[in-house]
Amino acid sequence: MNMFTLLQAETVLAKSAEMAQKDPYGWIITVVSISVVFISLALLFVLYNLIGKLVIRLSRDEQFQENPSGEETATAEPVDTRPHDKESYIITISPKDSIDISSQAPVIAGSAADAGTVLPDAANAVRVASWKDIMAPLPGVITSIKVKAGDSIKSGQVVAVLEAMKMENDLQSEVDGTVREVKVEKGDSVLEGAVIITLE
Amino acid sequence: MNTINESILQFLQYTGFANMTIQHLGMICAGIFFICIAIKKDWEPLLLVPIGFGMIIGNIPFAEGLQIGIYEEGSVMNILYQGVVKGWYPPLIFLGIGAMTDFTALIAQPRLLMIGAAAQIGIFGAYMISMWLGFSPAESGAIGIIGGADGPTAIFLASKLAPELLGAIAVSAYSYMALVPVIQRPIMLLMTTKKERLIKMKTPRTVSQREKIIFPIFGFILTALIVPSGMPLLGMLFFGNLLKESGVTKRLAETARGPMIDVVTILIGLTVGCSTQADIFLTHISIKIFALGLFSFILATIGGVGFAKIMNLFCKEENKINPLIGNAGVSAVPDAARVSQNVGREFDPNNHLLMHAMGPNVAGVIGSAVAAGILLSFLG
Repeated sequence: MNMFTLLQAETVLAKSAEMAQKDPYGWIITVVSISVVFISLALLFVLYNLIGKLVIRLSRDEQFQENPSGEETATAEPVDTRPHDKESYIITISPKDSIDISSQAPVIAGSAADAGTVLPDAANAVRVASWKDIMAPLPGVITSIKVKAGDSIKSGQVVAVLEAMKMENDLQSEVDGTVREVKVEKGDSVLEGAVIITLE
Repeated sequence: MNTINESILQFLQYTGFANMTIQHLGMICAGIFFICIAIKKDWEPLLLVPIGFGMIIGNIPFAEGLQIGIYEEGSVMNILYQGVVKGWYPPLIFLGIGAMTDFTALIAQPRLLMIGAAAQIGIFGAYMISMWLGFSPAESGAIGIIGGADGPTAIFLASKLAPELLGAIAVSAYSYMALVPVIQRPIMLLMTTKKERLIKMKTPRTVSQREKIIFPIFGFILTALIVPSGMPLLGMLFFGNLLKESGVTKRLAETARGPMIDVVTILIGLTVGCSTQADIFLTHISIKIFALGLFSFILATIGGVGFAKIMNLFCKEENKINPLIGNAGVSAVPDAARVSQNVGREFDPNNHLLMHAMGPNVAGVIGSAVAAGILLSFLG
């Protein structure tokens, strides 16, 4: 041990002993420290809120200058999702009891969606809303695609695996139907909300 | 003839068999157990395999004086161990973590920072209990930081405040980090209602590159001005992140989050494992530290989930936070966020909480580095 570490060890001991005397139960340090942690992060919160608003306004102005029609062009940024370690956390959810694929509901909803008519009926509206393409819930990389165009799929079936934050996530279909088109390939990086599979 | 006999006798005395004690054997078994769970269960293998093998290395008994042991000055292990003792491995790890972490979730929803702050109560709860159990304030601070769920921070603080407890604190911090899924899940289920678990959070807004570059610079200036003693950790964390986001230092970022963090992880894991030499490590104090570490992890999870629920009281219906991301306020990145994702999907397979949970998760890293800085300035 050199002089410096000795000195440091002594100060720690002395300070610690002093603290033990002044604050025998530790609650002063606790209260002060928790407050400081909260204040620091609250300040960060305020700062980033401000910066966020400022940056959004600035980019709107810039876009307005470039594109006076006011159309916002969303810029997609590549997301860094390289796996650090291969850990697979696939949750396999056992497929639900066999559902008749040719059941009426999707057909009705599908034709309604195709026709572009909005059904006033509340129940149908819900069905139309859930009758959508399968989108990426997270930004990530598609590591495997389990279906191809023309396949019939069931609600709850795993259609693709998306790797995000070093974690493999199964993407499941929320509805029964037939795959019209697979929009991505294995290895593609996708952003949140990107359409992965369209259904008929 | 006599000299040969003596030499053979001496050789026999130097073998591990002659010096083996039940404690050494116990620690070797613990090391094998660590390796097994890392391989079988895939829990933090990158840490548990080096630590586990380090435990085996550190507990092969030897005759002292040959400069082999990790606690013998000048031995190879002792030299590698200096990065832990002097606390310069942890900031290097933080550099890699910064270059690896995407702060987008936090920039898009800065309010999630507060969950990361709330989860730090685990640290101070454990601090108070340690004081009550008779540890000195410096030791209590070093033990409490286990609840930050951040191995490098725990090692950093322990090396400054309580070097004699470093081995136990580091092993306990890393073991509980590996056990995050096991510890947190029951607490999360206990503290949330079925309805809360199904909350779908709004998709966060897109974050521009400019914001991502501003974030580390201002984040560092602000936090370091408040807690200068947290500078080694915070500086490296935000610097690493700037390397990642600046867009012009891709090579540096890749080295920081790739080869460099791997090298330091190997060294830190191996030497921390090695530091569990039974005659120094196996005391009733270590057992207390393990118990306190578990307590602080549990309290941190309760703090995070509880605070998310409190925040919900003030949020409009469409802005509600799913309290299942509260557990991610502890800074085990990205493991705690994965737990949120997995538990969330148990109840709704289409509710992906991962990106939302990354917000409190990285806030937790900042929060525990700030907490370490405060403890260091009070006690160090």
